[in-house]
Amino acid sequence: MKDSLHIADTDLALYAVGALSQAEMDAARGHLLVCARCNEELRQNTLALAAYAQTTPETALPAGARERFLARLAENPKPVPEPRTAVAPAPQKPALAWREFFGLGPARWTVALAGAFALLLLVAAIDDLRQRAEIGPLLAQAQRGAVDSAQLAQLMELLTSTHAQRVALHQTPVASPPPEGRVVYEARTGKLLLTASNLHPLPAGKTYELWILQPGGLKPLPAGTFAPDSTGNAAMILAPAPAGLTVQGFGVTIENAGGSNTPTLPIVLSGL
Amino acid sequence: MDEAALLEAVAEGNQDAMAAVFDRYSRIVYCIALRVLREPGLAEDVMQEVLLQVWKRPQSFVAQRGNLSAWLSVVTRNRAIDVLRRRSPLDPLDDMPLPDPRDMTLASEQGWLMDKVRTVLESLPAEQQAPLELAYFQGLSHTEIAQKTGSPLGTVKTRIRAGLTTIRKAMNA
Repeated sequence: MKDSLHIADTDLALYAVGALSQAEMDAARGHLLVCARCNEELRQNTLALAAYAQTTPETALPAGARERFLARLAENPKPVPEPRTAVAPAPQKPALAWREFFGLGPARWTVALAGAFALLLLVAAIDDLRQRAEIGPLLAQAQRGAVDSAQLAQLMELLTSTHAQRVALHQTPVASPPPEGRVVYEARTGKLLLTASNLHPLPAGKTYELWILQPGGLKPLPAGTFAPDSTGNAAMILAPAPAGLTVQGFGVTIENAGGSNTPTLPIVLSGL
Repeated sequence: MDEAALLEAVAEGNQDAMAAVFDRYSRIVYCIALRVLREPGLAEDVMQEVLLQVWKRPQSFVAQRGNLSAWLSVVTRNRAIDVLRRRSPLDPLDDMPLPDPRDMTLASEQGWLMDKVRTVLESLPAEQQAPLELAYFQGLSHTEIAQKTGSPLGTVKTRIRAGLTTIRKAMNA
């Protein structure tokens, strides 16, 4: 149905005329939540359909139709006009085509939201990890019904805006991020890669050492020593390690310079 | 009185302005409803409902500065399809803004555009017109259209898109 990032034009045309199956409509809905390109295409289709509707041959109104309408008008007194104030205008409803032609009222939209929202996280045109991080908490709110349809539309516009500023907020003062690392080990060749970041600087005469943890109570095997740079980053690239091992996990300890044959507690990093 | 001024007057509760809206748009609204429903009584009911919504809640539409006839056309078709399927309305009418950058408020310009669209549609072979007609005015799905016409599903889809593309080209020419 989708050609890479966007809904195929044929499907958008079918969507506009309401000729897709319900499942296809639902899938398109999720994408249209966030895709400006597809929304614009849909809007153009809808304008074309409005013109198509207006080509309908004209027929005279039934006799008395005007009088009947005016009578109903009299039965429906005008609500009190909304007060005009000097404050900034309320945010307009977003001019997104999905609001126009999805055939969903606010309540239904919220219900449809949970599935559609989860879907869009995976398949829609959000490829910015920061946006994914921003949407995650929103999804939880939406699933609880705390975000109504109008708010959602505005939120999505905000999140996908290229003009919006994005600022990450942190604890003040900034807390040190915890040390972390990753190991890639191939038992067949014995090749090993370690990368680590946010490592604390070490006193003189000390080094970090990587250990291969084996199952069955076997002794941990040393797999190389490394030291962080001034920014806390460290790496062991294609470090030689024993091949053919069954590995339970990896650990990092602080040892005396030159390394050790037995790890010294505590283990500062580990992964199983 | 232009469209914007008319709607402003409607928003202020001017019944004469609403009567003018009726005089200007009721026929196209009724005709679209009739095209879908094929029953004058039902079509008049839809017409009344749609136009009464303009009376009750014109504010949101005024804010959009769109094309009222296009908005009314789409809303009427959708409402008529709802009635055809005997289902309750799905969407509040004021939740359907249809902004049009052309802002075609002049009746003459609107009429000229519709003439262009009508001409290109009439130039299409009947078998190409049918799927769009069946989808938009009878509310059939692509599968139902394929069954009804005996055409392959892919052909139905292609023809619906081609019909829309033809209209869009005529509008932008």
